[in-house]
Amino acid sequence: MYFNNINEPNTYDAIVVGSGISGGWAAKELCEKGMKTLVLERGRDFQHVTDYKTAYLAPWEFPHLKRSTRQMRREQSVQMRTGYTVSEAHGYLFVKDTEHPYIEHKRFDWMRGYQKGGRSITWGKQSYRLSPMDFEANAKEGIGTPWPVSYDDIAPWYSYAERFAGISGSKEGLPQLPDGDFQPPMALNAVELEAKKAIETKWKGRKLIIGRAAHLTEPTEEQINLGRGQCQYRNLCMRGCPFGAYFSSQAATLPAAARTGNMTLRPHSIVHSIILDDDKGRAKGVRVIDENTGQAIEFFARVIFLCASALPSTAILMRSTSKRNPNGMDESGALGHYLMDHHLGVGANGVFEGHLDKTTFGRRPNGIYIPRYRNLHEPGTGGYLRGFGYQGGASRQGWSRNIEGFGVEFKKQFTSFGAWEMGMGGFGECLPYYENKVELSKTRTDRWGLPLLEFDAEFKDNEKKMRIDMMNDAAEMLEAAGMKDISTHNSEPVIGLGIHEMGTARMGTSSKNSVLNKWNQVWGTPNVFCTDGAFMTSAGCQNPSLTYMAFTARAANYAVEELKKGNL
Amino acid sequence: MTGVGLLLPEAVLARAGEILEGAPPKRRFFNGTEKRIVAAFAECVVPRTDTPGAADVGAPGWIEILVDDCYDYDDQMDFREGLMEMDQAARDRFGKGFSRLTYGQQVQLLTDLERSDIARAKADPHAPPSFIRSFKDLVKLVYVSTERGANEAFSYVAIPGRYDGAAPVQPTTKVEAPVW
Repeated sequence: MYFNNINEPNTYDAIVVGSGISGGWAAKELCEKGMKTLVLERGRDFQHVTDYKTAYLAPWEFPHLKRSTRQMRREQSVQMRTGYTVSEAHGYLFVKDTEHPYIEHKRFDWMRGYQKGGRSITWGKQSYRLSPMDFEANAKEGIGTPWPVSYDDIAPWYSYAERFAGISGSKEGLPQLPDGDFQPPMALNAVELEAKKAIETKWKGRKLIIGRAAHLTEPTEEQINLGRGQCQYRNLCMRGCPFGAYFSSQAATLPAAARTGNMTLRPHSIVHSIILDDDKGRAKGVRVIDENTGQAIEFFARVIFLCASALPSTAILMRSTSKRNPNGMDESGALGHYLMDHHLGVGANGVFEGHLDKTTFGRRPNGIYIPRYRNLHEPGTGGYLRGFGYQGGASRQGWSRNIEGFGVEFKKQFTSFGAWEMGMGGFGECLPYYENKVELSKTRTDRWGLPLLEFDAEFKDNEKKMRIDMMNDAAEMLEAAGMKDISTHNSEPVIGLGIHEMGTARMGTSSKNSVLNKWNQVWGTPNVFCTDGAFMTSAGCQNPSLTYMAFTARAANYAVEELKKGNL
Repeated sequence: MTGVGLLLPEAVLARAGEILEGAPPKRRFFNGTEKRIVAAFAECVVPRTDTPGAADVGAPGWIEILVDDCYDYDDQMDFREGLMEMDQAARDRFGKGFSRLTYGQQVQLLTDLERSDIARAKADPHAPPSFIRSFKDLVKLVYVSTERGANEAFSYVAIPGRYDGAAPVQPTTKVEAPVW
């Protein structure tokens, strides 16, 4: 399909900015529909399998037994805030903060991975649908702006995304967490099954299920043809999976795009802005800065997909100015506002005294999930809106537990099994607040001359109230499950730490209240689509990546249909 | 204390200066006294039994690398101070530096120091973290991360290939070494 004169230099049918979860999907869909597509990745190339240099290393094969060095922590002082990202095994998949600074008026933990595939290599793989009530909540409660899309609009695209990506999970028939097209679920272990029984008996509206996760348990022919295999239960996913068993751009969407012969992927390509044609009300292409040479290059296409992740896509829209768009591509004033994340770091742990004759074999890269029940079957305590889900799991205590003493007696215990323990941590919905915002710095730039991002965002009262239930409910459920020595925790929630940045170029019903329309098109510039977390009108409490996949596929399909009709 | 345990100090001292096969290159971060205390302490945490001890797996060398490269500068100072305080405690009680005590004396001293740390933490939740506890945690972490520790005293399975949520625990079933 040649909509442009492809013989013109640097000209394609479509440009996709970013190669992470959303960008990979846009590339796949556009290429499969015959579009000559240029994928621009700001970071380095990163090949599936052959570049996963740590994937098979044992702890003793790392220079520091996998621990982060002082040098790494100095270079990745923000990335290390999660407590798990900066390690010798996978720290190199996250940016050096010394090279990619930003400004925090309030603390914002921004985790970034600048390589082909982006954070699709290191993501958590939990994959849940938003529910009809999630899409309706804003309108019902008068919060933020209404979603312009209903669950029924997106449901077939969820199925489409699930079938290609491969999501393992159990069908539960829950209205707040719709079932999907799943591969067989992973197993709950002995103690999780005890907890499930106890919790579901005591509370009619609460369910404990196995996490729905993007790991292949029964690969389809399509997945096998792409070179993907079944999960091997190593739980070393963050190093890249040499079996292609979890969904990543590398394992799934980029090879699907590449085999069409329609994809050109250009690494080291930082998008400065979109080239606008005010007379036609369209975008012509994008301006790129080569990461290594600093050279400015222009690329042209009929349609542009912004999939750079929420904040970089927002920054590109802000930097894309013209006479008609002096403040960037937004007429509503919503661009950069309503920044959301999920709040976590709250829950409980306990010890289970039974099942001492059992343990787990294999390392399941997944855990339990307790779908939302507050403000559905049970009101929230103290009057807050929305709700939360839990993730967690049970395992046998081993070498790392605290044991008193020294010498032979200590070693005997150190090398033997402890009791089972179980923990659960909440993932809470964050409301969209106008005041939670990101802006372009007026004074400071990065080494490529692009303005730094300035963050001014925080979790507010609704989230903080919710956290009391998140903490206490976890303890109550563990107690009901027969756990002892229950301890609770509720750390000061930090925005960004959920690594689910959302909402800064939201969808809405009109150009007055939003940046994007119901097809993820920028109002006023219909050949620019944005399908990463920036479009989220509300957050739900579910992990959002599956939603980005579904919306990206839907938008790409729409874009090509419109091009064919001559409407774009 | 068992006879095996009492035989250990010489074995430890002999090993402290050796370059073990497959062990990482030697560092000069610790001075001789510090090296000897570190090696003796590590062996008190994980002595050689029917499975390797700390020295057997090269734990002292790894500890030196980790403290040298991974610890923040403040924590390095605290670590050195902690070693010297431990040595002083040995002198106060037994009239000899820690590494010159018998293995039984070392274990006794560390057991008592740990107990008083625990009592202090109970009385004052804001008490500074115990050096003994954090050093012990470091030895544990290093031991389970070494090839012999992981494979001989624990079980290291690179590619399990499956998940069993109710696998039987037999007398021979070993605890899993960490991979993550």
